Amino acid sequence: MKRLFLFLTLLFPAGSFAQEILVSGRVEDEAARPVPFANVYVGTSGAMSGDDGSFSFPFNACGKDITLNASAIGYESYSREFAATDSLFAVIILRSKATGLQEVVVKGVGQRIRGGGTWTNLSPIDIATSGGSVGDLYRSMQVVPGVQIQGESGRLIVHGGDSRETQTYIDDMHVLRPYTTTAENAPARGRYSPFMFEGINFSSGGYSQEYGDGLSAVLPLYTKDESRLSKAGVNPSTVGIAGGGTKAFDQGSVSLNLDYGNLGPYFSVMPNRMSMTEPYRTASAATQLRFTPTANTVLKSYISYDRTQFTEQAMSLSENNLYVNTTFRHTSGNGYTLFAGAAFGDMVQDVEGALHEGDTFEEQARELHLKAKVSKRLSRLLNLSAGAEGYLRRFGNEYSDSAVSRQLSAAPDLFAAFIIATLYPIRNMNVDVSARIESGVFSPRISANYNLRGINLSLTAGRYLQQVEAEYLYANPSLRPEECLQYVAGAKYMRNRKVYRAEAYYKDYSNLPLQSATLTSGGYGYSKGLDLYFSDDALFDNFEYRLFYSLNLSGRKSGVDQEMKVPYYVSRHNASAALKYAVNPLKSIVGLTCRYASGRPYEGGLTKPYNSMDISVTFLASPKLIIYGSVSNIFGVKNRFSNAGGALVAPAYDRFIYIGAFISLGGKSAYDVSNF
Amino acid sequence: MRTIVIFAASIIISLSASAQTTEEIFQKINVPMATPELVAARAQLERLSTAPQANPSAMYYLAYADLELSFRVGDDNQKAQYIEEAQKYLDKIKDVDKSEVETLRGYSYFALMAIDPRTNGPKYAPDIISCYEKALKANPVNPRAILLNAVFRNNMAKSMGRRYKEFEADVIRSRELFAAQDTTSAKPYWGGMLLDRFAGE
Repeated sequence: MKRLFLFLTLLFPAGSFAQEILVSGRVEDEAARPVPFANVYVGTSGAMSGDDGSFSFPFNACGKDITLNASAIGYESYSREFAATDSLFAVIILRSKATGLQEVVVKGVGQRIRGGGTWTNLSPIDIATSGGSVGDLYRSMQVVPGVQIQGESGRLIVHGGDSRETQTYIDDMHVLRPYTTTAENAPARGRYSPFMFEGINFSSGGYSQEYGDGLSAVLPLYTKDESRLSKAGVNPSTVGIAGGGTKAFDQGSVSLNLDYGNLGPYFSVMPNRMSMTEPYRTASAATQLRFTPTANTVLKSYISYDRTQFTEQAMSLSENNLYVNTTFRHTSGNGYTLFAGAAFGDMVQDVEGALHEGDTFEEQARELHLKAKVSKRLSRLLNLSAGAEGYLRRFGNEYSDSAVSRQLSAAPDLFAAFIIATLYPIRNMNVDVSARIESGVFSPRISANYNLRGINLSLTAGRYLQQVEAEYLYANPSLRPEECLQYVAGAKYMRNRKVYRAEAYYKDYSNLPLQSATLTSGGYGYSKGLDLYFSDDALFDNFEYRLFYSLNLSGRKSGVDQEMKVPYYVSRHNASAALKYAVNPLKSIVGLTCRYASGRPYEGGLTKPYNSMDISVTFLASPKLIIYGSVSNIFGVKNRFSNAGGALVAPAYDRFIYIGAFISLGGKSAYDVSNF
Repeated sequence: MRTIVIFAASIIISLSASAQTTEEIFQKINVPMATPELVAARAQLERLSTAPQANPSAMYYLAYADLELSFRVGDDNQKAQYIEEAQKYLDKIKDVDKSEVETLRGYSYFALMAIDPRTNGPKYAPDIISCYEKALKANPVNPRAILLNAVFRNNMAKSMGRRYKEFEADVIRSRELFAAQDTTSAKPYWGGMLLDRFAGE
């Protein structure tokens, strides 16, 4: 025992007697350029690299192998073992982090959707203060290149694709019915407030194969992982009242929001073309539970229910919509990120007097979306994620009157698996290679991004599938999924708070439903075009403006069209100018948006071009009171649209005015208008 | 018995030598220093924080150094990278005064906000408020929490054409508390220079 103590005593201050070696070398990046100020060390001994990347320091090696570490801001850490020698000279190559393509996301909100046409981390505040947004997520998106400008549907129509070709996701889980139901020719709104989301991403094409069952675009929305503040607020407006709040705990929070809308009082004084005998009313309740037991684990559950009712002439409609979304995300100590989620959507719509007095029509749509994925950065060169998902769906409707009773149903379940590899072969470049197997069909996708002297260049090609609409499946359940091959090439340059973007795309549609003698999957089509975008936040203080122009050329032979035709919802030219100015002395933000879309095809030729100038004013009356006003089409231009039947139609109203107040009742948070 | 005493003494001598070095670095980082010195101190802290059985304060000061550097570099991407590093360390910290950690976390959101106040202000304001509230709840006489909270609330009030009524009182109180701090230990006492950086705003 005595000997053991003596032995340990001699060993303990080993540094005093150990062999000192010189550790030296050079730190370089992948292009062999020196990396200065890198921290190079072995244990607690080390040095900083100089301007030429060189370093040297002595180290007491004790005759053991040594682990040489190096790190520098903006680069992946380096660590390597070397055998014990008298001296060590090492050339350390540091690789830039994956965020090197000028797309630093300062706070993680789910994954990025690299590739063509991506718009990441759009700010809810920016969206809400856009001119004429009337607080609606989807209308605000109409100032993003590639999104069709239109006034009557309120839905996202992207790169010549029908609105059903764009899918919305909340926390990476599918949303069955993202839009509210509306009266005829009245624009739908998003069911979800933009303020619920911490991150709003959008891809107008060439998106990751994680997102399936969509031919045109995806809108992934991410709710906040945590709400640190307890708060409560109410939001009275010209169209109703909403209120709710959040109670924060150490490891989570619970939020509740109630909303009642009634357009009756509004349309009793504002001109419109609707003949409502009972006004448009909605009542909704939403709650979200967030639980973060550790810094790397998040469990979230979002539940919303809404009911809509109105009677227009002889037609009476009521709709019940339920959406439940639960997700779990955990990043383990060894770098694996695990995700699992379940989303359930259920919509039941009852219509009385759908075709004539006395008839009834009931439509049902139900979907359970289950998904699991895992991802890990396997090496400096490779990030891999893989997952599987299933959609269990039931669609159906039932019509009956005194003479007829008819029931239709379809159960187009869908199962898919996907794998996504992101490679970083050289500095300033990443390549996404992904594949998806859906409905037994293999769909590959490749996207390459390269930063050339500050210009981000991207090329994307991929195949996308979508199940045909339930209406067609009722008639022929064996129709093949619709298919679209997408090719996108883009360039983006940012300098001095100015952004320049250009993007060209080509979409090749096939397997579209075609009704000739029989209903087949023989339809096809194309869509091609160019998007240009410019924004400038530096012209003068507190002012920013954004310009975009989109050209789209589309044709389809599908549905009942036996010849190639331009779809009724497509206009060839779209342009917008969005200006925003913060008037600090007046504590206000003014947003002005001018929108233009060339004429759309209808049976009489082309409609007149669409024009709308919209304005929004946000007034910060006090830290606890925000007054918001928005007017669409301030000049009341009589815009006309074409509908699916080829007819010329007028919108339900030319102009819409929204005035609301956001009042904080509790908490101390200024201009935080979300009750979530 | 003699052997045990020698063995224990050796351990104490070794540990105290190591602690002295670490403590010196902690002392150094608390006082304002030029950027090259701060970069060098950061490097030392990074080495200390990766050592087995590292002093938990090393990671705290490493996060602090990253945040300080984020205010000194000009490029927004680099600022964001420093802040991201700092937040990564803050998430890993254990066994450090909760009030100090929450203050630093609030400071990290404040640094993010400073990159683009118009966009990031509304986004991070609730986080900043929450962190400073937690910091003050854990230690109502933390001068850093008092000062940073006052600066943030004053800036927020000013953006709405108002002023934070408690601002002067908070600044005076934090000045008194800064002056009364123990500057000889490894405990945080940084922040005195923030009076000059922010208090005049």
